[in-house]
Order: sequence, then C-alpha cells, then structure tokens
Amino acid sequence: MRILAVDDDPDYLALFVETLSRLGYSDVTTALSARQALDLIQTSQTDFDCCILDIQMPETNGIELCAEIRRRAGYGDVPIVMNTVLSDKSSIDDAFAAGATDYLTKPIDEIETRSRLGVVQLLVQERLRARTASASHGTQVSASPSYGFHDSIPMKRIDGGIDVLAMENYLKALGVFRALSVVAVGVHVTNAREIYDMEGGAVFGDVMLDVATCISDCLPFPAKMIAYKGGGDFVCLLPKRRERDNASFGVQLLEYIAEFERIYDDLHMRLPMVSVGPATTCRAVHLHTPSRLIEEAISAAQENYRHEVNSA
Amino acid sequence: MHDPAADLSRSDPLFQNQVQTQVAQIRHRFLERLTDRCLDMEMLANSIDRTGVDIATVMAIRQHAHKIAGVAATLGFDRLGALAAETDACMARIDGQTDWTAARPLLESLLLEIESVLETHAPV
Repeated sequence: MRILAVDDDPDYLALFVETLSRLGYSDVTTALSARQALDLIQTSQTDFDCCILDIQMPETNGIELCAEIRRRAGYGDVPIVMNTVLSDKSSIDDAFAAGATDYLTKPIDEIETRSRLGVVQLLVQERLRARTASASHGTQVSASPSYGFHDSIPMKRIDGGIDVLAMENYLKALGVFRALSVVAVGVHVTNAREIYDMEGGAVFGDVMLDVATCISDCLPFPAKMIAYKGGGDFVCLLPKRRERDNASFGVQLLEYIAEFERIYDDLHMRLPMVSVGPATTCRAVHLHTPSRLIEEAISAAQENYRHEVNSA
Repeated sequence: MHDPAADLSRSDPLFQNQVQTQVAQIRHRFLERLTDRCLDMEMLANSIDRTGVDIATVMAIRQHAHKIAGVAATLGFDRLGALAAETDACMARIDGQTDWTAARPLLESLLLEIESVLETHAPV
C-alpha cells in the first residue's frame, strides 16, 4: 500500500514512518506541508493508495488539504485518514465533511494504527479489485462504472455524500452528548431491484446518484451526511434540531424525484420510487456499533414501505 | 522501489536494533527542538503578560504545545505529553485576558516540565 503521510512536524513524521514500518507498511512518502503534498500527488507516476493528513498545519490545514485532494483526478475515493490530537476533535465534523474516511489520534497508538490501517488496506484492495474487474470487462474510461446490486456507490460528488465506512467512523468519533443531537433517516428505493435487473449496473449507479442528488437538495443545510449502503438503501445523518425540516423531508423528496419523471419517460426508464423511514435517534450504544444505527434507519424505511403496501 | 528494511523480519534482532537506533535519533532531535520551543514559548508568554492577549501569539504558543503533545508520550515523556495536550486544549479556548490569567499557570507547569526533561535528558 503506497501511503502519503503529511505533517508539518518532522519529529512526528519520523516517528510515524518508523511505526508504519514496524507494522509492515514500508512504502511511505512524507510531506511537511500541504503544498509539498499536492506537488507529490501531481508529479507521482502512480497514485497513492492512502493519504494520512495532520489537521493542524500552518497555511493550508489538513481539512483544506483533504478537500483539495478529493478534487484531484483519481483521488475521489482514495482513503484519507486524518491525524489529530484529542483537542482537535471539534474539527472532526469538518474533516468528514471535506471527505475524510477515518481519523487517528496523536500521540501514536500502535494498536489503533494497526486496526484502522487494516480497514484502510481492505478498502484499497477492494478498490483495486473493482478496477481490475472493470478493466477485464473492457469498460471504457468515459463510461459510467458498473456496480453489483449490493455494491456501495461512491457519493463523493454529492453535496453531503460520504462512504458508509466514513459515516460509521464519524459516529464513533462523536461523544455521547453530541451523538444525542443526531438522527438517522433511512431512504429505501422500493423498485431498486427492478431497475437494476432491467437497466444493468452502470445505469443503476446513475439512477442511485440521481436519488442521492434529490436527497441532498431536500436538505438545504450544510450539516448533513448521505451514504449509500447498496441494494437501493440510503441513510442520512441529520441534526436533531432540524426536526421541522426532517418532518417534511419525505414529502419533499417524492416531489423532487417526480421532477425527473419526464426525463425518465423519454429514456423509457422506470422512475425510482422511495420510502422514507422515521428519524432514528442515535443512542450511546450506537457509538460502539455505529453500523447498528445505520441498519436500524434502513430497516425503518423498509418497514415503512411494507406498511404502505399493506394499508394500500 | 526496493526497501532493505522490508527484507528483515520485524522480530529479527537486527531489525529491532535498527528501530532502536532510529527512535534514539528522533528522540535526540525532539529534545534539541524542545529547547527552542521552550525559549520561544517563554518569550511569547512574557509578551502577552506585558501587552495583553493577542490571539496570534496565543496560537503560536498553542502550536508549540500541540507539536509536543503529538510526540512526547511516544518517546517516553508521558507527563510532558499530558501537560502539553492540556495546554493545547486550554489555549484553543482563550478568548480574552481572563482566560489567559487562568491558562498562564498551566503554561508555567508545562515550561517547568520541559526544563526538568531537558535537565535529565539534555542532548549532548
């Protein structure tokens, strides 16, 4: 795994590289500033598999650098891990909003580093596998990528879009009190299977991105996170204090999707139909198993759909 | 690119020896920089004492504390790391003279701890 580690403190960087080497990660390139990191990304012949960025740096900080890296071609879904001391925890929201996948805390904790980079390595391998599969199927570079029905689809281009893994990591980073201020809302595309079977993986990916765009447009505030779980299921994290907006969210989403009806008709495609679940409150137990909150929100949306069918 | 270190097993005594040498070098450089950081923080704190709170100066102190907090514990200076982390968090909250008056004793403890570390482990 080719790692780019960025930190303006040479002592930290040297210790970190030494720790990574002990953990078996020996292909590490270092940069002492955001400028140097961007130059390395620009001039490197092969893309880095993972970037690890310090948050507090002079001039361009780690969060700004994260957003800038995300804008670079080929770096839309490269894992980006933020490195932070505990007092920086208030910056974590901004880091995830800028596209971070996970975070590590300073000082170096070897067990934490091993565990988090282990997950990152799995992501990198999965990314490589998807690329290889796409190349062996002769997919053209300009064509939309093709997805399996249960595959996760990158949401980085969507305002508030985030990977499911990054959403789980964000939930883990919240303390109990902040967690209580967040709700999760599931959105289930009820005819997802039908669209996938009729249109194939590439068009299905585009349709899910259309749905994600509508979800994002329905939530006109910056503090939102939208992740796609696969199988036509989305989950959104919203501030609880926006309860009024959340209540009208389902109705508005249906209206926004309906605006696509003519385009879909012209393309002879089925319009995605959605069911929105009730807001699921984040509880302390979810901080240890954030996937549970995501599953509960999605189940609530699916249950809502079953209820609508039964009562129709 | 071929990495000779990767050829060595991580439990190999030669690899362990190499690691220890690297850590000793990092520790040496950290202690050298710590002297400069201590002098700079003292100067910055005196400047605030004389002329009042200036956020840029507070942030410069915080930056030093932040860097020490990120590394000290890994190099075996646990108390220094904890004090630096506390100072870092405290400096982040400073918004006026009252906050500074409350934060100043904490910074003083950090500076004393740095002096104690340097007295015991001064680089030669």
